[in-house]
Amino acid sequence: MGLLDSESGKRRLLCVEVPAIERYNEGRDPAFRIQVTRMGTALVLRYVLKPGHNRYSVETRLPSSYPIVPPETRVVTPLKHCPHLLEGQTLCLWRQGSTRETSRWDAARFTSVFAVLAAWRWLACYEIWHETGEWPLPEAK
Amino acid sequence: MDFRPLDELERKQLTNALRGNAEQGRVLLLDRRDTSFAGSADEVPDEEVISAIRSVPCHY
Repeated sequence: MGLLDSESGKRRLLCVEVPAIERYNEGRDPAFRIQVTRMGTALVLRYVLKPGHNRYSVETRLPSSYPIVPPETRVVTPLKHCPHLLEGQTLCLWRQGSTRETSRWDAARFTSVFAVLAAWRWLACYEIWHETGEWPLPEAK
Repeated sequence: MDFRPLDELERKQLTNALRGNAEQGRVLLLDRRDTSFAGSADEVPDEEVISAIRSVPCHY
């Protein structure tokens, strides 16, 4: 299923993703709203999160095979190297081979806004790690 | 970026909220306007359902 070039992909966008993003943006300061742009066969959500006192610019990329393939999120604002941070400041959020349900991306249940909220939680952990050197949540198996 | 850290009380509150979310399913509440941390709760207020974090999957 191609997100932008198949009927099922377009239906997913129009009926699930766009309404969820519009709802997220309601009542939000303009600087913190999600902006959606097309990059080739992918969509990129750009937004700002502020779990503590610091603002982080973040991008979540929905590949053409989304939602079967989970979204990929990277922080544009420079970070210190820390746990759960991959190359290119990509956040390690899902573990598709995990036997634990909550460790996996579930295309039937989650929208791209879930990825935004997961990024917020990751950044909240980062703010604590930055001061204590300890990631506040234990790693799932 | 000039990093401005949380003070000790803010850090404790956020740590407890994150652990309560991960271990007991408590809800993390975000300020509607700027996504700043706004506390935690047992249930999601209707008007905050799109901003609150409860069942967001993650591997930690």
